[in-house]
Amino acid sequence: MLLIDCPYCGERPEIEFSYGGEAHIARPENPGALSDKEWADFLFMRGNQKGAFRERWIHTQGCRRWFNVLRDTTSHEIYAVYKIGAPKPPAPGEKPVAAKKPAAKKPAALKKGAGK
Amino acid sequence: MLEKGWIGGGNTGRNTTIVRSNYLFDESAHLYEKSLQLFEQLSQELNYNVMMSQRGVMNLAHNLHDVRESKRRVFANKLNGVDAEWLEPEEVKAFCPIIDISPDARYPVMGATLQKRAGVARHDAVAWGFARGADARGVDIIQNCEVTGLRIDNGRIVGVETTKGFIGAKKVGSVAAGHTSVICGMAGFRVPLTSHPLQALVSEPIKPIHPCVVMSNAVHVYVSQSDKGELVIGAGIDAYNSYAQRGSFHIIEGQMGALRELFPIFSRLRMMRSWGGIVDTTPDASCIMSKTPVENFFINCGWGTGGFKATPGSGWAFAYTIAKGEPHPLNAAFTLDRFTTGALVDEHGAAGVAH
Amino acid sequence: MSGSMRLPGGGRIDRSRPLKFTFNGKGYTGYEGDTLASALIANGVHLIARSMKYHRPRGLMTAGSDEPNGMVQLATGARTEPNIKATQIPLYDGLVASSVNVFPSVEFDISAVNGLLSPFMTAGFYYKTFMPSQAFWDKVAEPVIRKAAGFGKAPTEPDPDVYDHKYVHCDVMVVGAGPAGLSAARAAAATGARVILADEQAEFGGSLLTLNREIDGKPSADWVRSTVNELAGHEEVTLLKRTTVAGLYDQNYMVALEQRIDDLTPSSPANPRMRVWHIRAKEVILAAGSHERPLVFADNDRPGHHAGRRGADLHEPLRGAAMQEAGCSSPTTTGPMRRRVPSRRTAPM
Ligand SMILES: Cc1cc2nc3c(=O)[nH]c(=O)nc-3n(C[C@H](O)[C@H](O)[C@H](O)COP(=O)(O)OP(=O)(O)OC[C@H]3O[C@@H](n4cnc5c(N)ncnc54)[C@H](O)[C@@H]3O)c2cc1C
Ligand SMILES: [Zn+2]
Repeated sequence: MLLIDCPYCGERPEIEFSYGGEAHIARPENPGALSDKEWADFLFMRGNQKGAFRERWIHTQGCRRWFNVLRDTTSHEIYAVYKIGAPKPPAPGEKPVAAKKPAAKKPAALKKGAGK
Repeated sequence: MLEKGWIGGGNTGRNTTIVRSNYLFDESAHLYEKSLQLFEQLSQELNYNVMMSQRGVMNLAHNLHDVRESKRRVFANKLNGVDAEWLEPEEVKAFCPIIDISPDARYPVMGATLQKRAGVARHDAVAWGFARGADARGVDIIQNCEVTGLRIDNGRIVGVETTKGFIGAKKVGSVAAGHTSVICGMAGFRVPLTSHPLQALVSEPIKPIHPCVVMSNAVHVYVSQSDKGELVIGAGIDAYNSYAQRGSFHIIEGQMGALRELFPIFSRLRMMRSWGGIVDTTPDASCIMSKTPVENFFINCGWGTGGFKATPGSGWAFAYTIAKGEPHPLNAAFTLDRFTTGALVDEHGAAGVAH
Repeated sequence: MSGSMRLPGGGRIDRSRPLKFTFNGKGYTGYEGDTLASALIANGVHLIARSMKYHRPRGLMTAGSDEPNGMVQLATGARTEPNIKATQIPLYDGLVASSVNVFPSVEFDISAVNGLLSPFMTAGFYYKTFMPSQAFWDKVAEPVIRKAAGFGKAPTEPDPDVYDHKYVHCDVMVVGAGPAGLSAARAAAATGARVILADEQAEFGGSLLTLNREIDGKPSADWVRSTVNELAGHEEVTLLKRTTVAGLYDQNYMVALEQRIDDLTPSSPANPRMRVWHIRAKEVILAAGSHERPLVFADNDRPGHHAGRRGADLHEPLRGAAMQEAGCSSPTTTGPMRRRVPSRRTAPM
């Protein structure tokens, strides 16, 4: 059972959470303008990375809030937990994603216990 | 044939061996029924005993919705020439005397579908039997050889890179189950698959006590007893994506609770070992046997939690697809395009108990 | 019979507390502190079970959870349990057990004739036989194979006992309470850490339960006693005996099964028979010791052959009995040679 560090409540066992699959999939602003292929891509096609993977979880039996997790799908190691909207913390060996504006705060998850 | 591990070391050697064909939609019923018919002659055809045991599979109904859905499936199966019966609770008890059908159970048994021709087959024997058969027909089977890249020239496949070097090929078929997304990633396209752990476990061997296969959607467990005497038990996937071939313990604990609910007499048995495989699930719980955006590169995947029963039929139809460059009518509905056209084959009900 | 093979002194039993038990319908006596295995051997019973395929005679190989042979059907009726290792059953008054996988009896077993056919029943033989037709397999061969398979029998009535489970967190989880585990737990507890120490045996001490060494200038038995007392005095230390750690999962999540009632005392919600512990630890120390590898030679699995070190443990009070012990783990020796074992450094950490 995974131990997940909810950015709002702290470390809790996996059974308190529900899984939301791949993170950072933006709903198209204007679905009507999409081709069938683009719509299928949004609805069904998923990154299914072997290795570092960005995914969503919801703390169903706690604060009921969604957040993102960067987890390795081969080792189940959780590299980072970050709030929706926060900049993506880099995966091991990945260059930090250059933010458009310099981020004022460090991502919540990298600061242990942030927001508890 | 290239295998990164050993023959049968993937999901085929890890599955709970249930074989049935009572799927809801015409497209699936035809494909799985073809497969069941091939299973019925497989030992003779391969000259290898795959221990096909048609001891009957019951799918239990525990609420009114289950009852309606199950009866609908029985009728649909009959229309497709697939044997199916509806059993009332007393008939369930007669078919499997150790099951608890008391009306005050937390999830009372309100009936079941029964497919008598369904059952179990020995998974290792199926893998080895096919390997022997392929070998006898001149197939080179190379184990411990991982495909690490696909060489594509002008949108057409010309071979594969492997840990043992490059192999040129006019056509390539991928049947990599949980690793299909990784392979397709090498070709630069995405597939509607997510890879999840599916766990199973066996009890210590006991004298025969469980005569058939019982599956329950609602309490979520399925169980049979192997010829060695072990109870073979499975249920649903772990929710998260994974390639680790292991899952979380609460999944096992949940299925043990469900098992005890249906079979109170199993409470004192000890479980011997548990394991996981990585299953490739699709949005509509149906397989994908299809051409791809890369010419002469074909995929057979998306069997998720339930492709063992399809093994002979899926191999048969996939061989046709590769040979002709076009799907056979049996797998014509299971293309990659269906996610664009919307013609899904939604088998979540029949595949429901994660398999 | 009070144990014809039993030595007058020694061992971990209380000779003032005899216990009556029944094996295969025959009455015997053992003592408090015996396992079913040691009590059977003390009574001269070596033939415990039959093997799965050829129904060859099987005795006891070891003295603990590594026992591959000595499995019995424990208790009767709704409380019966199949395939329990005799080496892990603490003897209690009124215990009833029987051999598994035998017909009609363990001494005379009809399926043992399979042994004579063994050249034709090599590993995987069934893949290449029994299939003149699917119907022959369905109607004749499979039912016969099924009947021959399996060891013990499942109960046929619902379980009258009560179980529970529990979630706990700790700083340090120590698996195994031999010298290494005890030392680790002690060092961790001294820092004020919340510690859980689990061992599958009924007493802490591990290898020191049967070895006599010197630790910190004391006989090892005294060291074990004082260490356990010291640990018990820490508020943040939980000591779990008869608790098997069965799995180590992601992020130091562990599952352990505590056997709380061994005899037929009725269980209740306040006193469950077994408890599943779900443990999340910051650090895990595996100090579960080692299992001995048996030597490979023909018929090494027949009754009367024991793994050396563990067999010697089991036979502690039984020196002089005709037996053969063989093994290849470091401290292996035969029982009577115990004194000549070179002293191994204990309390490693
Ligand atoms: C626990 C469990 C229980 C199940 N129970 C049932 C059941 O009761 N009934 C049922 O019908 N189905 C069941 N299934 C599903 C069934 O096992 C699978 O659908 C089926 O075995 C898939 O067969 P396959 O040949 O497509 O895949 P696999 O048997 O998984 O074979 C794929 C192979 O591809 C290899 N591979 C992957 N990547 C590469 C690479 N890059 N290069 C070389 N080789 C590679 C893998 O090592 C693997 O051996 C279960 C699955 C699991 C895990
Ligand atoms: Zn929360």
